[in-house]
Amino acid sequence: MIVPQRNTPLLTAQGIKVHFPIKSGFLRRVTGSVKAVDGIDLTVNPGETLAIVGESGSGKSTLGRALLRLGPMTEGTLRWDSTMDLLAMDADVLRNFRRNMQMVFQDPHASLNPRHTAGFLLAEPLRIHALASGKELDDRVDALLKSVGLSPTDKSKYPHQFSGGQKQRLAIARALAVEPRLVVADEPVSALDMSVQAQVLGLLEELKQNLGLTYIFISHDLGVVRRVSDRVLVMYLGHVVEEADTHSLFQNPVHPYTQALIKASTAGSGETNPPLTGEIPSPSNPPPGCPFQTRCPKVMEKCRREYPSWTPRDGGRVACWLNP
Amino acid sequence: MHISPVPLLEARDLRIHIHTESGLSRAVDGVSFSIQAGEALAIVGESGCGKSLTAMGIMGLLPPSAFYAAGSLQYEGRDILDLPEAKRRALRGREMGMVFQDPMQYLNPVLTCGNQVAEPLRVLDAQSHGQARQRVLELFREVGLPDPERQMERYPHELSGGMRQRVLIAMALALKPKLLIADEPTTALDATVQAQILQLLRRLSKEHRMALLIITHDLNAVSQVADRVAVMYAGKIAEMLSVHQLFAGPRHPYARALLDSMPARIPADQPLRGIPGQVPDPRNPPQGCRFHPRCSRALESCSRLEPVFTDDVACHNPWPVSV
Repeated sequence: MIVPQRNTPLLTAQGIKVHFPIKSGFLRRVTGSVKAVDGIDLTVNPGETLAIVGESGSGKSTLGRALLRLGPMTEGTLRWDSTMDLLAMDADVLRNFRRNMQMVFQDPHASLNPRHTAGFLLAEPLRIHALASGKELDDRVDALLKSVGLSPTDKSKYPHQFSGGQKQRLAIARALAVEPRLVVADEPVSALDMSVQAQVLGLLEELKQNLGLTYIFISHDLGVVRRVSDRVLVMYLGHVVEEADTHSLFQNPVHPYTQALIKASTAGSGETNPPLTGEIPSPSNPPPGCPFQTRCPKVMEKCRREYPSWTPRDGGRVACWLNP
Repeated sequence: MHISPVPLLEARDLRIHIHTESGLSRAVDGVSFSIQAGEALAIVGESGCGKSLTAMGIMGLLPPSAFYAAGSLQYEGRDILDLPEAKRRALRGREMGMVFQDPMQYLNPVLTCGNQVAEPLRVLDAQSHGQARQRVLELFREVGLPDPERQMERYPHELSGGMRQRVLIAMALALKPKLLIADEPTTALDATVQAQILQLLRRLSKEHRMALLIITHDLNAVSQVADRVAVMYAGKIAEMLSVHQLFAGPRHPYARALLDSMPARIPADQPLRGIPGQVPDPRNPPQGCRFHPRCSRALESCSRLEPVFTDDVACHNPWPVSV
């Protein structure tokens, strides 16, 4: 379902499916598939922060990668600015186009090459996209370091000489080097300490404002999501189960899964909530009907048979039979 | 809660230092606390504050470059730091169990879960194959693994993160330790699964009167599992307080700043700042109070005089007590 927007959406995805084949036996026959992302529509509007939340195995990272064409996609359409078809681009065109969309990963230890200095790491994307050279390249690298709260004197340092928070700042600077419009941040602060998390989130907020960025913010941490996002998609087992503007979602979570997630992440509430039982089922063998039916405290007969259709809720929509 | 006169474990002025190429790192530098049977104590702090090294020091699993510089560690009233390694090893597993952040790293990928949990039972407890198998099934049921018979035959990679952590907890519980140390046990898990694991740990601690020492950076986790909290900063305990006091308003400026770093606690119209600066280098900590360069309440004396830990807080200018 595409709701016409007054502004053109930056990114429009329809019917996104990412299935990975399961091969087994001597002949490695395809015997099934892992339905990591199983039919998702979304739009990202310019200037907004769209959060994708869910547990591991919900498909949120796979979706994030698919949206940037960093990962495979089985089915679906992906449009940029409503006009450009990202799936029609060949490798060369896509490589150039990647300037527009960048990614910040969870673990800066893993995403930064330990053999290169900070200066090299920041200059590399500028060189690849032929955006600067010589003196200008040096200046751009200095400016990037400053923009993320590091110092130009850090240029000659290697990643291991930085603290975790500084490394993530470096990873953010690297993503921003090519002046993207869309940044997909996949759990960008999960590996960091609390006081540093707040620093880095503050930096992301500041950069967004200064540079007019659009974020897709993938996270399992609802405390963080509540603070940084404008709109939230709640994913479960490859599906979006609820979608709403952040304020409405937290004020009035409608889907039982959203309710459980919000409860589980409320610190110091003093309540001892009985948490949800069980874990997310395997995406290679999802239950019939509603994907959440195996853990839902309010499951009904209908949920076991039929996949719930979308119904509107305040500020968004929800896929749950309890909300007719 | 019943409090026994002798704590199960008591650290007094424990100091663990590390030889590094660039000098001596005073990673744990005078830490005192005690845990009673059945109590859940959380040590909270940022990376590098010495919380994990404290845990490793209790287990006797210090890396080769680290050593006990001073202080004592009493387990059931006797000092265990002077024990020869063989006796120390006997404490591990049998008296003290440990659970780590990333279960995959601590599970053998080529052994089935059943076999690896049975290993300590067969090796240390000389149980027969059949006995060990029965006990593993019991343990798997206790830690809430669904379909325990099936999990016995599965390999770690076939399990979800939450299930792997349950297997690791089962392994730590195998020999019925009196103290369970959990180092960031839920950091790698999702919110709903995190809540389950924390509740499991808390239940096990209360049911078996097992002392639980949780090492974490996550205040959300602390609120779900602990009775008391030690907030550590740069190798020292800044404040010792109840979970209720922690969320009502801690007195140490670091503890309060940490609480105020939780994004959900900051009004939307105020920028997120965290705590300015970084954790100091333990090879060269600041003079006086180690937090003073980052502290919003620092007095002139804070840069000269190291605060003494009195009345559960180590600060020259603490926040007034909140009710």
